[in-house]
Amino acid sequence: MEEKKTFKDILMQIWHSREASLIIVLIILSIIMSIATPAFTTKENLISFIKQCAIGCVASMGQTFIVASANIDLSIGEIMNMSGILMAMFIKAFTVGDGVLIGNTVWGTIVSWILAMIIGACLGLLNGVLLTKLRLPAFIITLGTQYIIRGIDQVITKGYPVTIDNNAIIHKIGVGGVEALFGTPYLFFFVPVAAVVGWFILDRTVLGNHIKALGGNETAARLSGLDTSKLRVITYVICGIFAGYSAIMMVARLNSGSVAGAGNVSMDAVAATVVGGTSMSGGNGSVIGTLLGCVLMQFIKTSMVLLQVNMYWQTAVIGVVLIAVCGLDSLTQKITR
Amino acid sequence: MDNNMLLEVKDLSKAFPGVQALDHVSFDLKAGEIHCLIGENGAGKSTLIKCLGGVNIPEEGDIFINGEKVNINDPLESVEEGIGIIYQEFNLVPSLSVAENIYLAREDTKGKGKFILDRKSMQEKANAILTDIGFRNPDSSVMMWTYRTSQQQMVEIGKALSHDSKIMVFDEPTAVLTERETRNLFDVIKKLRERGIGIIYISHRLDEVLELADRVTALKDGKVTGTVVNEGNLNKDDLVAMMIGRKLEAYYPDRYDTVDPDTVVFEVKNLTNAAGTFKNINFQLHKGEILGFSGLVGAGRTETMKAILGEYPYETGEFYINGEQMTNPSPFNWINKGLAMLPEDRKAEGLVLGMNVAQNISLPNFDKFSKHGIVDLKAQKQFIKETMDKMTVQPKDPDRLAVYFSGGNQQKIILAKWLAKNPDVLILDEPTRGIDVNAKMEIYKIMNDLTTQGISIVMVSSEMNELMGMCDRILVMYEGELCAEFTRDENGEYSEDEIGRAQAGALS
Repeated sequence: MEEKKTFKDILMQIWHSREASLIIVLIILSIIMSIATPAFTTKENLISFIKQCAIGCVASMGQTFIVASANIDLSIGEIMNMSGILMAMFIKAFTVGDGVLIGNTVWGTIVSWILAMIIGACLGLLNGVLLTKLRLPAFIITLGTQYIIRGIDQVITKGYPVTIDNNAIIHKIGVGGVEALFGTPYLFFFVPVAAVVGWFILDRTVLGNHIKALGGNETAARLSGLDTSKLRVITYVICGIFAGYSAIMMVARLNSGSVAGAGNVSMDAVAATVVGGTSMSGGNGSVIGTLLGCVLMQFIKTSMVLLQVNMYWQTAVIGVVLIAVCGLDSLTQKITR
Repeated sequence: MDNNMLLEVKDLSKAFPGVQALDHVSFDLKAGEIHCLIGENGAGKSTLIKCLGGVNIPEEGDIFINGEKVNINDPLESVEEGIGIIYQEFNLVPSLSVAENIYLAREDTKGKGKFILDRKSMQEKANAILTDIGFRNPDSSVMMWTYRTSQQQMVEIGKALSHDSKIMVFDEPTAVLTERETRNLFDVIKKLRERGIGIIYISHRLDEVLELADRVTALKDGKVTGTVVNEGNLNKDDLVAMMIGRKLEAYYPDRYDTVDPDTVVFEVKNLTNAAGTFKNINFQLHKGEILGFSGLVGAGRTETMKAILGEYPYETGEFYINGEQMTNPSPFNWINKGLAMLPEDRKAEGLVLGMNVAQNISLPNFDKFSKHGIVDLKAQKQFIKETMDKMTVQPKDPDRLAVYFSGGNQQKIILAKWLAKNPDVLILDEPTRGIDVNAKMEIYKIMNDLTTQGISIVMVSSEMNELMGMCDRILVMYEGELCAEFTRDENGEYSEDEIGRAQAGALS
């Protein structure tokens, strides 16, 4: 017998689905903002919002895999920077104008993108191998590699950004948009591609299930015959590839690769992941939730700019939101338990 | 070689630093047989099981399955040999679905490349397996954490069956179950026996052993002390004699007459929680008394005790200690007023396992050997030594980490820690759970001695014998309410029948 869902059941379901509740929060905030300030609904604002948001969204998806496996990666920002720097150097050396090696700007650019993702994968591999061989906490390993990578970046660049002067493709992706689609920035289209791939791997594949099993109960995973060390390495490689992919977007946006390009993205990614419903203790993980979490964080930042809130308060508010969302979750769990 | 044997273990030996856990142990199991393993903690039962499970590797001896020698070097090889072990601690992933847990590492896939999960197929198979072992209307698509402990155990059994296990091992399976769940489990185990599965069953509860066993093997100090066939001719005394070489009579000490019925040291009034976990709880504890709290698992005993301690929500309730009302109960406030509690889960709540004995005992007692926040190390050392002497903690090594002590000694460390605070009232929640016979007897003796010092004790226990052996008065809880009070009759005996009926809510 099919039981009819009452309105209350549906409400409870939404309450328990982090993705649904985030979407509702975003809709409510959008309505409030469009009433509060006309600047919000302008095309310019929406475009700049997407540009600011897109890179962090993709980088956070990589962190989601790591957090789902009950670990953390503090080196995502540095992986992005190194991928970006080497990618920019490659473009500078080989694709400018008619190109020296590749001979064609389109193919040269595509090769540089693949290079960025391979570098990301290699650095992820380094994290994963160090982690499983040395048996140290991920916090320490990735904190260490973060410094190492940043140091090497500084040596390579001598501290100067590697600016790309005349690669039209990169430049266009960074600033341009599709006019036929209300000028939607090219950067936007990177996000759904990454989100679909990430969601598919984590939610629909055997590998994703094993990553969650590893995070949920490592002993059970091992006793079931999973190679937990290999799995850990794979999660870091996946995270590295996402970082490399977001480096492509970052280089386009900044038109350069630099030591500080990614900023504080590693910790922002942890925040977005947790707000998106992935538990810090591992076992579950939602790439879509992370995407929405990241959008919410950026939304709040942008709204405060539009509402002319003192800039120094903006960062503090982000922290309040993080603790409020997770605290609410923890409190409601206590009540329903 | 006897080919009728499903499993044969010959001369298995395994040593750990400082202890010979298995000393040339031989053991066998027929198809369609329940073979119970009994023995005190540390007798080697768990080590034997872990050798079968590939968790421990024996140094000597051979394992034969269907007459063929096998090498089990890791858990996976054990599974491949058809051995399914239901450990006390389940190996489940709470955040995956039930079906995904059963088929972890052997997932059904669809599409090319075999990397896309086929959840529907796994759920159908998992539902069929669970239904087969008597699980009514299972929904294997839900998250593992939504299942109760007993249901999780069924999932573990289902997982073993899905591996086509011919040998199944149950390690203290009823320790976490209520009476009714235990009955269900027994039905399942008997059904498995009918199907020709060989079952190794480990339990401290001798009633269960007598009910289930076709054969019983006892271990002591890593050696087999005997194997007997059970044809309904065995009784508990026989089993205890095999386990410890001692009769049951001397089990409980003679209770000293220490109760002062005119002095109420501790009183609870109208303790109620909105969810109905406990309702209108009223009781008094007299000086020098041991008051028992009986009831089935889930009757609300532990929650009541935690509420008293301020660790569980409640709506109404008043607490009085030595005539003084406690308005703001918390572990810290209680200990300052002279009440200490030994929690049910001593590993999680009673001890800091990663700290040594000295640090554990010191925790609430720093005021005794420090001034202005500065610790007098010499005084601390002296204090630790005296405290450990009083409790006969073995081994007497204050630098040893708490995690390495046996259950009985861990319990003594916790007791020592609180007794140094000179409490008037002790609440002991399942003080002897999971500890071996000798250590139990020591705990009983300590409790008896404490009452002579004027200490009053509330003892929560699921073992009726223990309550009847130790308590001056027994209260029975049923579905959150205190439903009966029992005292000893003129012969100093309790009516076991009456208490049992009260526990089941069948008291008129």
